[in-house]
Order: sequence, then structure tokens, then C-alpha cells
Amino acid sequence: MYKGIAMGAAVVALTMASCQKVDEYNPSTISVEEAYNDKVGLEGAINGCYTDLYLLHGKQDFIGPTELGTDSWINTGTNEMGFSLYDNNLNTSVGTLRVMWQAFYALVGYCNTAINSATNVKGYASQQELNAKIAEAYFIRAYANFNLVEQFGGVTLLKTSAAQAGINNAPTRNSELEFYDSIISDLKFACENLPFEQTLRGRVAKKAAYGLLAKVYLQRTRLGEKEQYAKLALETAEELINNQAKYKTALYQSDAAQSGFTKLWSGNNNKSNTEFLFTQAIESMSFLNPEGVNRGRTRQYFLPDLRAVQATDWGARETSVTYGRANTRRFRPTRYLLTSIFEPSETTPDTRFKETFTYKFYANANKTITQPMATTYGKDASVVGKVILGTTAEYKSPYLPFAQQLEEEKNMANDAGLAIFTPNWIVDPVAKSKMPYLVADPGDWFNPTTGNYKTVAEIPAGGVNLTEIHPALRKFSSKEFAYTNQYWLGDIPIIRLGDIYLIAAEAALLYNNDQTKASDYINTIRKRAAVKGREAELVITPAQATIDFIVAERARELTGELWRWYDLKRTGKLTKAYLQATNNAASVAFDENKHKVRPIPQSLLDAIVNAGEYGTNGY
Amino acid sequence: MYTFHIEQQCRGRALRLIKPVIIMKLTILLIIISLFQAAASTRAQNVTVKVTNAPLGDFFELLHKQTGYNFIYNSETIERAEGVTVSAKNKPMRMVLDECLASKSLQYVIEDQTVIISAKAFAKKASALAVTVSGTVSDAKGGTLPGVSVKIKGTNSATTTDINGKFRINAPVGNEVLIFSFIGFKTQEVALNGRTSVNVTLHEEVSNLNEVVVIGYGAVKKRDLTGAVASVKAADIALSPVSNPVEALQGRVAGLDIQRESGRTGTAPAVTLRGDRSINGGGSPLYIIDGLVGDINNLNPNDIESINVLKDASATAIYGVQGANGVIIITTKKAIAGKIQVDVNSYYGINGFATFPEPLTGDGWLNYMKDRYVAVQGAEPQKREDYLTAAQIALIDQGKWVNWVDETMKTGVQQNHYGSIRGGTDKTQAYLSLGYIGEKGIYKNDEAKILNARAGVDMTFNKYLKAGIQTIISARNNDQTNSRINQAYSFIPLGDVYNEDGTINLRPLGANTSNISPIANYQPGVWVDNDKSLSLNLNPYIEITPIKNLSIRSNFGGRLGSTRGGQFQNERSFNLASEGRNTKIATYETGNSYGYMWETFATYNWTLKKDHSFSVMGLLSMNSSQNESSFITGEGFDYDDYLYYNMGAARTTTSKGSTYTERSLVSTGGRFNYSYKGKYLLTATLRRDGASQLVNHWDTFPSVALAWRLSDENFMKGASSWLNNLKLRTSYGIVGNSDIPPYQGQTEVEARTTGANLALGGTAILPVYTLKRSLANPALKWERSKQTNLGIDLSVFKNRIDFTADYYYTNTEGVHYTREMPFTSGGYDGKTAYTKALNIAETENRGVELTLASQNIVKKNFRWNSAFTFTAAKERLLNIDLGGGQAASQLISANLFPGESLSTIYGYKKIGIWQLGEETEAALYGAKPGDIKLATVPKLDANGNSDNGVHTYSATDRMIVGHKNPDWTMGLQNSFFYKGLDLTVFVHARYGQTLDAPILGYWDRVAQPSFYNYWMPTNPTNDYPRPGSTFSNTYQAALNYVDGSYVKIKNITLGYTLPASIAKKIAMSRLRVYGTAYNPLIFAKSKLLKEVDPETGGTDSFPLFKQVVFGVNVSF
Repeated sequence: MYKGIAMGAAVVALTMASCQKVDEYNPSTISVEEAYNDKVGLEGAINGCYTDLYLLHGKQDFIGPTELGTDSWINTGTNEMGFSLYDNNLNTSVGTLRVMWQAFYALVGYCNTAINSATNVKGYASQQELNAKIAEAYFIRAYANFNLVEQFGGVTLLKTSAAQAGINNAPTRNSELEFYDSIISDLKFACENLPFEQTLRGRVAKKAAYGLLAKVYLQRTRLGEKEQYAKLALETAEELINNQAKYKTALYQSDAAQSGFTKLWSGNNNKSNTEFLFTQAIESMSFLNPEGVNRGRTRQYFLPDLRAVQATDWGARETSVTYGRANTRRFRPTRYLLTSIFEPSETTPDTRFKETFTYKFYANANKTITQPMATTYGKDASVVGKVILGTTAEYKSPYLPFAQQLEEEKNMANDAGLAIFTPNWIVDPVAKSKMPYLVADPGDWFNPTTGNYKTVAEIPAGGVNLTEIHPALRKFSSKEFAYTNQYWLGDIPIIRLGDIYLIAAEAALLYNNDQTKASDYINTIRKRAAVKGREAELVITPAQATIDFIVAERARELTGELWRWYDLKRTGKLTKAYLQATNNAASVAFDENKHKVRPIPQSLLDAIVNAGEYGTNGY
Repeated sequence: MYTFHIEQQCRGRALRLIKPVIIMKLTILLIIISLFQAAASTRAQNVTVKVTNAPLGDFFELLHKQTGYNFIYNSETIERAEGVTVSAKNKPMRMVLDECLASKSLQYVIEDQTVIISAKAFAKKASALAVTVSGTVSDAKGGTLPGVSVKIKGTNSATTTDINGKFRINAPVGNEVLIFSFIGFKTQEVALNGRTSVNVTLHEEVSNLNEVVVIGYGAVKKRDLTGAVASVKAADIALSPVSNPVEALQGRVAGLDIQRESGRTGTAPAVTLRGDRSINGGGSPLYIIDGLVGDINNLNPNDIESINVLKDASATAIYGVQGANGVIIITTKKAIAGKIQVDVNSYYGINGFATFPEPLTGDGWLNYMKDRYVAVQGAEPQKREDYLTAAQIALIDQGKWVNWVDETMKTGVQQNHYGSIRGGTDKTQAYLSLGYIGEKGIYKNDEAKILNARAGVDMTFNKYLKAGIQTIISARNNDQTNSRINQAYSFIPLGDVYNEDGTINLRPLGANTSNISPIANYQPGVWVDNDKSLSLNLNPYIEITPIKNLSIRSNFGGRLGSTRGGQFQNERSFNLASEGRNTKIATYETGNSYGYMWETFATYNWTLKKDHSFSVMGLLSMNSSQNESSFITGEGFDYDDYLYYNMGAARTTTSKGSTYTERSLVSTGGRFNYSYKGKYLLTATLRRDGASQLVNHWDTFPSVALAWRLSDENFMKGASSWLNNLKLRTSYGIVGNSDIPPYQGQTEVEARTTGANLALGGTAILPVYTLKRSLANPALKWERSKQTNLGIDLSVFKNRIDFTADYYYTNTEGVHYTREMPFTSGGYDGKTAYTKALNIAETENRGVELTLASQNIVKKNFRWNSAFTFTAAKERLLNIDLGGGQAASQLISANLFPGESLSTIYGYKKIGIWQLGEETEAALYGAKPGDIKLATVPKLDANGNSDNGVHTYSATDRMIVGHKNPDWTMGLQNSFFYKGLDLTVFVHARYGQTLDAPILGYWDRVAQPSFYNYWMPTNPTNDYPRPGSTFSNTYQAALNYVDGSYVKIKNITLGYTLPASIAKKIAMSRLRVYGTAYNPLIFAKSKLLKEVDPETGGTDSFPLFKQVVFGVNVSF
């Protein structure tokens, strides 16, 4: 009987064992075919193509590679020092290189997955409808490849998706021309197939494609066939310039109160900006953004040292909701940017310095000027006893869920609450001593010979070191959408119409040296930088329209917008001589044979089998 | 000497639980059982014997095998007797015995299922002059011993001690010899010499050769072992005041490397057996608790009877794919028939004295700030304002210095309270234990409360059927906090830590500063991070012995686990206050895991021609587990009171989701044992496994082992005076490792809608579908370790010295590694690489393990024991295979370097600091005096000429700096017993490992540790570079690497056991009080580690602390 039971049990156990499945059941994912042969899945893949753009704009990682090591900025402290100075700190191990490399390649991979899958998709009424959708991926692939080739030169041009082709352990390089062929072909498809308008402002439409194609054609001129590509750039730019209504874009125009440039950067126009062609859209109410509210932190990297005694003595405070938190400072403007690019004049009709920089910092609470302060800072006795009024008040914005305490909400009239004033013009010493606030101007900042920021040793004995009290970039900051002292939830333009006018001007010169046409486009941009009535003061003659002028004009118009390094590279200004003249500190270690491309990130070299063959780009 | 021939049943398989759901099943079980019992009672003890002049011992053995009855006799008595000649066919055993023993002046008594043989002569005297002898039996520690067998030598007159260790027996003449025997203790003979009162102290059995060692799917006597198996006893495990039983094994098993890498409460230590051979699977062994795969974290250390560590393939191959990293078999304490035992163990103590370097404060800090300023600005500061802020100057003038490291830490508490009751009859044994562990760490809000309960019943229904159930319940409640040590070194050492009302000051440097106090989260109610978990194991078993020598056992293990995590922070918490975010954020997450394991195995033993013993075992196993989880995070709550319990009140849901994973394993296997006279032993095993997470599901794992007991050979007889045991062992086998996550075989698409949180400026979230992170590898197969083991066991001088040595060599092919793929083929996202599970490498491990146990002094009142373990091991990566025939000479991103250890440290190697006078040379490397000096790798130019390493430092100068695994480890325990006092000192050493110590990397921080001896022109040190050097900043990682060799006194315990006579007066059988200092003394080789505990790898978050606990062990 027991034998029987035992045998029975054994048989049952054996049977159950053999029936036991060892296959996998996985309800949390779906197959590649099921997902991407379907409209919802494919559009989900295309939405994915936007995600990693949010790692770059509005973050610190993309500033170093695009704005530093140019004529415009220099590092504060050691962050991004390599990009700034081209010294040993620019090496394969720099963290931001890795972020940039990975983000662009991830984007290309996403786009390839979407593009290569879009052959047999259910749910579209027509091929055109599908093309209009998939064109978004073509655009983003082109944008990513454009940045890769400009930053790193001829690296790997990825055309496959990991879903279909897997991973290559021994990647090979492609030429810069191959990159450009691919970028241009992608953008042509995008121009042709994207809709004129999208419901979501963060989604790319035709205007973004034309804008980027114009930039790409112009940048392509650095590789030869200059006239041919300049002509294409001009035509593409003019397609936009001449058909603004069709493409749903327009320049802001000046009126008597505000220049067009002021309106362009006004917080009120931020979420429906007519000049933005390719926009990183940020949602400020429901926080539906990658990383939620953790957006728009770049403004703090440009701030002066509001923690220093020099600032706190005058009532300024480190944290300000309006202009950010001065605890992670990275970048200072160069003398060239402040005093050569922008006209160092209080009375200039060009509003662009005042709209590009915060140069007035206000007191948090009432602050009385004392005699010791007057002595230390060389102030006239007349200012002693004056009270700098606090400017903090509650600010309620329809854009924000919470009320905020904001500086600059009261006591602004006649600068009653002004604590620190950092103009780009030199203030008369006598007038300066009578101003009841701290004044720091280019005379306080720069060594007159080198143009570099003064070192401690160069500060006269008994003088106050004001080299950390400088204007701060404020294009990506406004009291609207200031969520906290760190986060700003405004939209960020990646390409905007003003840029396209200057592209057209440059292309006109390169194509057939049409200075008249070039000056027309330049003047359009310059005129709208002045308030109505003073435009004429900014107009240039056709003879003034040269490449050098455009290089400077682009900085005036576009500084801080993450294109400067590409501009210098294209216009042949990435030279030791140019840097010597404009940003001496950055020129010291600069090597023209090496520094026109970035190091290949060590993370890649460490992960492939042919690191030696792939090379570091000379680093 | 008496020899006990006892049919050893596998005690210990447990079974537990009484819950409504299974009552029905139990009812069915009971019906079956009652049928068996009915059948059993009708069955007579008939035997079939045909022997001629057989030695009596063999004859009894034969009867034992046929009937299952145990025979107890004095060897000398039966050796004197002549052989037996008998022929019986299916006759009752009593008849056969009567017939055979009648002529031999022997008699027998059958008690229960035991036949006691004794000489007739004494028995006859028995009735004449009976006196009553009484007394107490106790153990060496003074506790009384219940259940001890007390016999009068040469008779069948016997009794056992009662619950208080007392006995009472009638001695026929008053001159007899009493024999006291008890399992695990040396049998003792005491001549009465007319006494009527005898108190006896039994000593634990020195020879452990007859000790039963639990191995996979069975148990063998230690003498019959063929594999490398190490055992640790309950007493040693309970010695350490730790919440995790594994930690108590540190240094006690050769080849088992255990490190507690974090002082966070409730953390499990890192365990590696015989080195890392696998990269992904890690070295974590398989834990088998009472026969089933289990989680050792669910046991209170006091619940453990013994731990056996199976090290070589001969022992582990029967676990097939799961056995690659060794198997740790835990046997929990069970009830013993006839004895009710109540134990209470309790200790309470403090956790503190964490070793963390002091940060700079006061003048030291001011000097450092000045020195730093000079290095950065190239000029002396003219005044304080140049390098200090206004707020700082004000605080300095008020003398408000703060040591922020001290402020973040406090003294914690460690306690463990445990009670158990065990007892039963011959047929039924039951036990119940409850344990509570309370651990408070050195940071506020770092707290673990662990409740364990274990209950079980074992029933022997009849000779054919045994069944039982065991339930293990474990509940944990864990409060967690982030370490703020890194903040503490980065915070200006000034400020008002507390407000006037005693509350924590959120902005210690002044109301207008943005620096938030590193201890902001210590404010009541601003930060909660709590985990709760409940784990339930229900393990019923049934064991059938349908025919003699065949047993079939079926173990079922059902498991259910549930976890809940909750996090809450409000606007005054460190993170949110630092960001100036006026919001409250909460996360609520749950996890459910459930699964079962069902294993059935049958064992059959037989003997051929007396000298040839065979045993076969066959097994079937099924294992399936599922995991489900869900989570939601929201922010913008109106009230703190909700914590994470009212997610519906969130204004914004920032993330949400749910997941499901499953995996299953199906196996068949078997084992064959052969023994010739107990001298030549053979074990062979074979297991076939199918695992769901592999594309190629199935593989087979064989092993074979041989052992030779030299000491049993005739030619060794001459040495028998001093040599008690000498055995040579060798084994070879293959084990697998499938420890990779599920779903590696498929490239699939996942929704990342919530994670991406993308709206492109709209108000609705957009669907996002991208490839999941792990890409398919259709060629993925088993990782296979080929293991060879050579071992020797030696016992000498009456077993006073036990020595074991093993040498092993393991070659592992197809090592699993989830590799991060290069971005040139795309990435999962810009921050995360795609991964692919690969059979990426081949590794080898070799090592020598020595274990020595010795009883140095054994005197009546004083004993000194030592236990020593030593392990020297080497691991090596042999080659890298990227699939498709593509090999790599190295793969830095995966930290893989052929010829090197798997835990290689690769980076910049510091050789000193550039000094004054070396300016010219330093410039060749891009450096200047005060900068870090590195070793460099020579570069070849186009013509093949070397630059001899003279070039500006770059990433190509990274090199292999060391390895994290030690060259050797050592454990030494010395125990002293003097009367009631016991003293144990345990020393642990780990030598030859390199640390990557974050705590050494705070160079140039705001308040770096004060012991950092940094370079200045006036201080030409080679320890730390000049602060403020951006050059050194780039290569700062080199500062973290340090020789991590250390010797630690891990444990000093002093105890006192009350004499049994006094304990008895307070109704106890045993009372011991003790104090333990845990982790009290550390000697590190590197001077940089003076203020750092190297065991944690130089962590900068949760340092190991020292413990002082006081405890009590009580038995009733």
C-alpha cells in the first residue's frame, strides 16, 4: 500500500515537474512589432525623441561646450574650466562631455528606432499623415547629428536602431561630410513633411526645420563649397523671413515704450513667443516636464557673488527668486563682451545690454548706509545715513501655483531699493562716490592691459575687490515663471527668428558679397533693438556689413543662447589671435590644431574594444 | 566504550502554520495518517535471518536494518560472546533473540523501539540488594541537563534525568558503575563505591566525527563526508550582538569572506564564498533554512542551531544552478523528545563611538582657508574679508564654532530579546520562539525593529509516516535617514546649531543665507522614510518510509512577502529648504512577492556483503516566484499630518506606476553514495535545471567526490595512540549560476510616460514608448563553474586538535555580466546606457583554507580553546568575450582586465606630492609643487619610441591600483573558562585589499577632515596636495586609494554562569550574564586609516560603530 502511495506521489510530482513552464510571462512590456506598427506606439516613440533635449537646454551641461572658450565668457572657479581655458582640464574625462555625447546619441537612437519602424504602421489615413509625424524624428536626428559633428568632428554616424541592429562594440568613424549629407537630407524631409503649425508649442513644425536647415547650410560652408551652401542657406533663411505669416512666426516690433528685443525676452511673451522657431517648452502649472520643476537653473550659474561681504554689506542677499541663487556660480562675462560687443554707454539706443543682463541687484530689507561702509567703499559722506529700501513683497502670478516673496516688487521707482549697480560703462568717480549703493564697473573688474579679470594681486592696497560683482545673464529668467530661487519655468528658445536674419546676412556675404542685402537684414535686427524713435541711430551702411561685423552682431543678439562656439568655428574666429584679442585668458593654452573638436568621452573609449583606433580627438 | 547504533532520522525538516486556508489540507493529511496508523498496528516485527557464526554486532545490525529497532549494548560484553548461528524465516524478532542469546549469558530488554542488551550475571544480582542512588547531571557551564540517559553498567536498568537534571535509580549492590550518556556529550562512567548521591558534570563531545552534518537533501556523519563542509555552532553565532546572523560568521569559516559595509541599521553584510567568480551574480551564497531556500534575515540569531557551509562542488552541485557561490545550510533549533526547554536570551547595549575623522574647526580651519586662498589667488589675503563672508566673520567673533560631524551623530541602542519554548513526546515535538531586535543607529531616524516568530510541529505517526509544519514570520519596521556626513565636511564649521528654544536652526549661518543645516531633517516631522515588511513562510512536509531503507520526503515551502515604503519631506527638510521649494512631497510604495518551492526526494540505502554500503537519492524540485509592486509620488500637500497616508490630497502626482516580474526554476537531480568499510567513500551527483530567465533554459550539472579514511587502514594502526582521524578528500564538479534578472531574452518596448513626464508645453502627459533598458541576447546561456577541491581532515591527541585544510581551483566559463553598452549605438536615455546580459568572461579562483580547532588546556576548573581559520585566495579574469567571437584586451567601463581580480581598482595612482625644487620635472607632467604626483603609463610615439611616462597627465595614465578582495583573511577565537567565568576574544584580520575610500576624498572641501596633512611650501608632506589646486582636483580620485589591510579585535565577551545549585534555587536550570564589546579595537596598516574603520571600505556615509552590550541567558 505504501509503495503504491509512494509511486503515486512520484508520478504526480514528475508530471507536475514536466508541466511546469520555464517560459517567461511579462505583462509590463510589449513587443517591438506590436508597439511600433501601431499609431499610438509609434507616436510614443516620437515623443521619446524629445525627452533628452531636456538634459541640455536649461541645464548647466550644454553651456560649457557652446558658450565657453569663446570671446564672451570666462569661468568663475573651476567648473567647466577646461572648456573655458582649453587647458589640461579639457580632457576625455570631463563630465559634461559625457552628458552631451550620451544625450545626442540617445536621441539619434530614439529617432532611428522611430524612423526605421515606420514602414507598416496601422492607424494613419495616408502616407502623408505618417510622414508629417515621422518628420519630427527626422528633425531631431538632424539636430543631434549637427551638434555631434560640430562638437566632435567626424565621429560615428549612427543609422540603425538597437532594436533591429543591436550594438556595435567596435564603432567606426564617419566623415564630417557624411554627417552633413545625412543632416541635410533629414532636414529636407522635415521641411517638406512637417506641418506649418503644431498644437503643442514644444513640438517641431516647419519653421523649426527651415530654421535649422538654414543654420546647417551656413555651417556647412566651413567644409568648402562655400558659395553653393551659402546660397542654400540664404534661400532657406529667406523662405522663413519672407513667409513669416505662413510659417506662424514674426519679429517683435519696437514701440515708444519698449524695443522689440525687450518684448522678445519679456516674461509675458515667453509662453507664446512669435520668434521662437524651435522651443524647449516648459509647463509651469502642472509641472509636466522631464524632471518636473527642476528646470531653468542656468541663470544661477551666471550670477555675481551675492554672498560676499561686498554684496551683503549693501543689503543684497544670496537667494533671490527673481534672479536666482548665487551658490553655484560658474561664468563671468568677458571685458570684450561687456565693453566691445555691447556699447558701454548709459545712453545707447541699443537696449540689448540692459535686456540681456541683470545689472541692478536690489536689497532684500531696509539697509542704512553707515560711515564705515562709506569709508571702505570710498563713498562720499553725503550717502551716510541713507536707507536702501527693501524690495521684497508678495508676488502672485497666474502662471504659478504658489505665491512667492519676490524682490523687485516694491521700492523700484527711482531705484529706491537698489543695492548693487554693475553697468558696462565706466561711471565717473565723483558721481560714483555719491551713489547710495555699491557700484562696480569695468574699471573695477578688468586689468586694462590683458583685459582679464583682475587678480587679487592687482587690486590696489586698501581697495575693495569687486571682480566677483558683475552683471549676470538674464535671458532665461523673469519674474514670471520664477518658481523658486533656483527654478525658473519659462520656455527656452533653441532656434529663434532673429538668428535667421543674421544667417541670411552672413549667407548673402558668403554667396555673392551682397552687402546691401546683408545690411538690410542686419538693420532689421538692429532697429528692433531700439525703442521707436531711436532706430536710426543703430542703422549701418552696406559697407559696414562684413563678416566681422556679423560675428559681433550675433553676440549682441544671441549671447548666452548656446551657439557662440559654433559661430566662431564657422567664421574662422576660433584662432589664437582672435582669442588673444577678445578673451586673453582663454587664448593662453589654445591650440588651433587640437581645440576645434572636443575630446571623445572616456566613458565611450572605456566601453569599446577599439579605443586606440577610435582615438581621443587628440586629447 | 558503548557504541550507539541509532537510526538517525532527518530531524529538522520543519513544518508549521495553522491557518484557516490550509486546515482543509491538514484534515486530509490527518485522514491519511490515521489510515497509516491503523495499518501499522497490525504489523508484527518479523525478521528473516540466516547467518553462520556471525559476530553479534553484525547480527544486531542486521536486525536493526530489518526492524528499525535500535540496539544498545556494551561492545566489550558482546565481543566476549561467541558468534551467532541462526536460520529464521519471517519469525517474530523476540523469538529469534531468545533463541540466540539464551546460550550467551546475555539478556535483552525492549523499550519502545530500542533493544538493550546486557550481561545476565549482573542482572541476576539486581533484585537482591537494591539501594536508591540519586543526583543531578549538569553541563560544563553549570546548567542542568534534562533527558540524560543514566544506566547501570552491564544491566538493562536505566532511567533519564528529569527537567531539572535530576535522576533516581535503583542500584542492586551499591557498587555498580553508572553510565551517563547524552547526545553531543562525552559518555561518562562513574563508580558508585557505596555512594547514594552522585552529581555529574558532562562535557561536550570532543570528537565530532559522529556528528551529523546536514548537507543538501540529507545528512551524513562527519566521518563519511566527501566534500568541503564547514560548521559553525549556535554558541558562536549567538556570541556577536548583531541583527543579522551572517555577520556572526565573520572569520569563523575559512573561505567565507564577510564584511559589513555599512553601519546603517538592519543592513545585511556582504558575503563571498571562495572569491568572486561571477560578476553579476556576485558571490552571495544560497541559503537553505531547514531544507528550503530561505532568507536568513528572517531569523533571529538565537533561532539557529547550526550553520553548515558547503564549499565545493561535491557538496553544492546537488543545488545545480543555484550552487555556484556555495550553499549555507541553516538548521534551526528544534524540540527534543522528553524534554521541555525554555530559553530566554536578552541583551541591551549601546551603539556608538563611530570612527569618523574630525572636520577642521577653529584656527585650523582659518589657517586652511588662508592657505587655500593663497593657492587660488596667488597672494596672501590682506584681511579676513578676502576669504570669509560677513556672516562667517560675525560668527567667528562670537566664537560659534561647530563640529558638524559630531552634530549629525548620536549614540544608538542595540537590543535583542528572545524567548523560546521547546518540548514534546516521542511522537510529537513542538516549538515556538519569539525574538525582537531593536537597533538604533548613530544617526537620528536610523532605526530598525525586527520581530521574528517561528513555530513548528513534528509528528511521528508511526514507523512509516512522519509529517510536520514550520512557520517563520518576520516583520520589520525600518526608519531610514540619509547620511549627512558629506554635508558636514562641506559646511562651514560655524553657526547656531539650535535656536534659543532648543529647536534646530534651519539656517545656522544666518537667516539671510541659503545654507541649510545638515541636521535639518532631524527636526521633528519634517522627514520620514519608513519601510515596513512582513515575510511569511509556511513549510509543511511529509516523510514516508514505505519499505525499509527507503524514505520519501516532500517539502513544500510557500512564501509570501509584503513591503510598504513611505517617504515624506516638507519645506523645512534639507533638500526642499535648500532648493527653496515651498512644498511637501510624499511617496507611497508597496510590494508583494509570493511563490512556492516544492521539493520531493527519495533516499534508499542498502548494504551488500556487509562492507559495501550504498545510498541513492533522487529529487524533483519546482520553484516559482512572482513580484508585484506599485508606487506613487505626489507633492503639494496642505498638511504635514498626512505623511504618505493620504496621496489623494496631493495637488500634483509626479510619478506613479506598477510592475510585475516572475521567474521559475524546474529541476531534477540525484545522488549516489558508496562506502567500502567506511574507508573508501564515493559521492556522485547530477542535477538538471531549467530556468525561465535564460533563453537556453536547460543545463546539467554533475559532480563526483572521493574520500579515503587513511586512519582506518591497518597500516596506520601503529599511530592510533595519537591519530584519531586522517582523511583525504577530492572532488570535481560543475555548478551553475543563473542569477540574472528576468526578461533578458527579449528586446521589448516599455511605456515611459510617467518617467519622461513630457507634455511639450501642453497640460496633458504624452505617451512615450522606448526600448526597455536591457536588450535581448538570444545566445544567453548558463554560467558554469568547474570546481576542483583537495582536502585533508586530521584529528590528533584524543581529538584535542582538529585540523582541516582545503585547496580549491574553480574555473568559470560564460560568466554572466550585464554590460552597459557604448552610446555610439544609442542609449536608454542620455544618462543611462542600454544593457545586455552577456556570457562575457572566463574566470578562475584558487585558494587555500585552513581551519584549526584546539583544546589547549582541559582541566577541571579551567579550559582554554582556540579556533583558527585562515584563507588565502586569488581570483583572476582569464578572458573577455563580447559575443560573436569578439574578444577584448580589456573593458574599462566594465572594470574587466584579464589577469586581474574581478574587483580591480583602476584609476590614477598617487605616488606622492610634487615638492619644492622639483619644479622643472613637475612641469613636464603639467604640474607644480604642491600638486599631486602620479605614476604614469609610458606612451609610444609613431616610431615606437617610448616617452618613459614623461608627459602631461591624462586619462591614459590610469592603471591598476589594487584589488578590493583581500590576499588573505584570518580569524582567531580564544575562549577561556574558569569555573563559572568565560572569556572569549575574537580577532579578525583582512590583508592585502585596496580600498577606494570616499572618506579620504574630502580634500579641498569646505571643512576637510583635520587629519588631512596637506602640502604647503612650509610643510613638504606627501600625504595630501595643496588645497585649492585645480590640477590636483582632476586627479583627486587617486587620494581615495589606500592599503586597507587591518586587524580587528571584533569581539570580547566576558560571561559568568551561576553555579547550578544556586540557579536552581531561583527555579532556573541555567543563568548566565555577560558583557560584550563588539568591534572595539582596530589596527589599520595605513596611517591614513587611523580614524577610519576599513571594514566599511572607508565609507563616508554610514560608518561602523562600536558596541557595548550586556546580556543574560536563562534556561528553565
